[in-house]
Formats: sequence, C-alpha cells, structure tokens
Amino acid sequence: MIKILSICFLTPLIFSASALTAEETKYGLFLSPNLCLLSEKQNECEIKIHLKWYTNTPSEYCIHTSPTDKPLRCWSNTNQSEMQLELKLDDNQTLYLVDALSSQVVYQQAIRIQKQTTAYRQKRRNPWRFY
Amino acid sequence: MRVNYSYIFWINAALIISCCYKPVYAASDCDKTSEEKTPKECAAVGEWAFGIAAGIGVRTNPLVDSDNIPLVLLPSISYYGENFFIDNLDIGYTFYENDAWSSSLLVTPSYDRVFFERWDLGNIFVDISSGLTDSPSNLPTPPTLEGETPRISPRNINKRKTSLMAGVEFSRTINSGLLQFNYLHELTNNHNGQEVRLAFAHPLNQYGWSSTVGLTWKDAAMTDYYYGIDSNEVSDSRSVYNPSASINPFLRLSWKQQSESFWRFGLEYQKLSDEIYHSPIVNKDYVLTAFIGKQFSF
Repeated sequence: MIKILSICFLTPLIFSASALTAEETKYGLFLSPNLCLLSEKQNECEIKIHLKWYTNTPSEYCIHTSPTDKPLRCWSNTNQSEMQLELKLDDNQTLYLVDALSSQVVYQQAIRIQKQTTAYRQKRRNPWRFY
Repeated sequence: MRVNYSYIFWINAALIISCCYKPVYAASDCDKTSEEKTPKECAAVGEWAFGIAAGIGVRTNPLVDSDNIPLVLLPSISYYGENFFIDNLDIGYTFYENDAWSSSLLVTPSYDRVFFERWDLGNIFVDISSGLTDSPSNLPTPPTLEGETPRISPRNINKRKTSLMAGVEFSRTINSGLLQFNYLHELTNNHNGQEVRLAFAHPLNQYGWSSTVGLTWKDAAMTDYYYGIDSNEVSDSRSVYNPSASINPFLRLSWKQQSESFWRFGLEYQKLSDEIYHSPIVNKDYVLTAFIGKQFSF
C-alpha cells in the first residue's frame, strides 16, 4: 500500500523536475567543436566552429572574443541564433554572448587548444651486436 | 621426474612484468626538455623508424667451402611502444628502466645459422653476415693431412634451422660505457640450448670512436646442434663430432660521425673457441667483420 502511494505522489514530482531541467539546459551558448588539436609542428590552430545560442528573453545579443572588444556579430530582438565562425587561435579562446543593451555577459564558452606531444624513451643499445 | 625449466622461466617472467609494469619513458631523460638527445639516443614512442646504411664491408665465414659475404646495403627497422620494442630482428619488453639500469625480456634469433644459409634474415639485418657459395652440393671433401679429422662441406650435412631464443637482457651504464648481459633459452625446440651474450662498450674519445669487448657462451646442446656432426650425417665415423659448451670472445673498434645522416665504421675480431674450430665443418678459428658506410634514416 505504501509502495502504491509513493508511486502515485512522487511520480508527478519527478516528471516536473525533469521537464524543468530540459527547459533549463536548452539555454546557453554552444560551440561545436570546442577543442582544437595541434600537432607538434603547428603553432596556430585554424578552426571552423558552429555556434548556437539560446536565451529565455529576446533582446539584442552580440558575440565577442572579449566582453570589451568589438563584437564579431550581433542580432536584434531575438532569443536564439546560430552562425559559422572561422578562427585562427594560438591559445585557448573564450567566446562571450553579451546582452548589448545591458552590456552583461549572458553566457560564455571556451575553445581549448591541445598540443599533441610525442613521448620519447631511451633507444635500446645492444653492444653485443656488430651493427 | 624431469623439470621443464622453460615453464618456470616464463612464469617468473610473467610475475616480473605484472609487478613492475609502468611506461618506461617516464623514468628516462628522453622527455621534451631534452630534445637535443633525440633522435640518436631517444626514440619516439609509437613510431616506426627505418634506416639503411650503404657502404662496403665483409664478414668472413669460418665454415668449410663458404665464401665471405660482402656487406653493401644494411637495412634497419625499429619500433618503440611504451614498454614494447622491435629492434631489427629482436623483439622485447622493457619492464624496468632508469638512467643507469635497463631490464627487458627478449626474443631474438640465434645468429649461428647465418653461417649456413646465405639468405638468412640475419644476413640482411646484419647482426652477423656470412654465407655459403652457390656451388653444387656435392663438393669434394677438402684434402686432409693423415691423422687429421676430415673436413666436411656443410652442404653435405643436415640443414641447421633458425633457432628462436628468449630470455632476459640487463644493461648497466658504467660511467659513459654500457655493460650488457643476455641470458637466452631456445624456444623452437631445435636443440633446447642456452646462450649468454655479454658485452661492454666504451667511448674512446669525443670524436665518435668506441671500443667493445664481449663474448658469446653457448651450452653444449647449442654448440653441438650447429657445429656437431652426428653419425647419421657422415659415412666416415672419424667425422662424428660432439662438442661441449663454447666461449667465443670478441673485440670491436667502431666509429660514428656525430650527425643526422652519418658515416660509420666497424671492425670486429671474434675468436672462435676450440670446440667450434675443431668441428669438421669449420676451417677458421675466427670471424672478422669490417664495414664502412653512410647511415641514412627515414
């Protein structure tokens, strides 16, 4: 009996909680890919990024590489958009979605640069062998 | 009850690996901060390396009716994993390494067969290079003095097969020299013999000259398999020969130019033990190897 009551009362709570989580997670700034692999010989990473953003209220939003720099692109009176971005990076880079009216950073996401490193080990020496 | 020591050896080897596993490059100084050490002393993990030396050289063949082999092109190949390695014909697993010590399990061919077979892999990846002439197999037996053991052409006896040896290798850096010890046991059941390889290499000066002294010990089973003559191989019972263990010391002088594609020179004199020299198929008590050429890496 207790088991049945628990299912009846708790199930709606669980469903409402999961619905709220899904709603929340759809907002944000999304970058794909957000990692750039550099070989040992490369110093700069050239990357094409697909950028998407969603907010809960329409406004004028801009994408910046730094909150105070000139924006890469702006959108008016919308709460979502997407774009392709080509970047040349020599270090990790954060992108900012800024509300242009309030100058507040709404979301930020980083593009990480990872340099591939080769591990080395001692070569075998074999003095018994002629060559 | 006969104890099979091979099983005991491999059980011990497995225990050593399981206790000591760790990537060996972590212990060496071949890291990114010592790039000046690569690629001559350090190898990139996970990458194949190919090379070839082009030059001129020769290795004498101590067997009866056998020509010396000219050394012209000497290929080399290597691959290093975290612990695993391939170094020409040797395959190994380094289970411990620091700046002074290195310990590996090793599988390697026995190089004695190269004296019997011109196209043995050991004659291509020149660890020892010698071979026989392509002359017909029924060569006349060389003349012998009265009372002397008749000499036999190795072409007229049973073929000697390649033996695969497995064992351990310990290397110890001493000042700027390197002392190395191998204990090997035959895997391929040709003779179930054992071999010890010992060598000490030491640089002579800063111009790339070095000297090496060493020896190869073969137990009776191994010496007998390659250099012994069984009664079913000859009609003349005077030629039956069953040697005991042998010790073959060597001395080598080497030079390597200090650059990426470098010239190299080597001269080695190996004295064969009387156990081998007295074999009816052997007529020299030494093996002399000389090579000078340029090494290229790819």
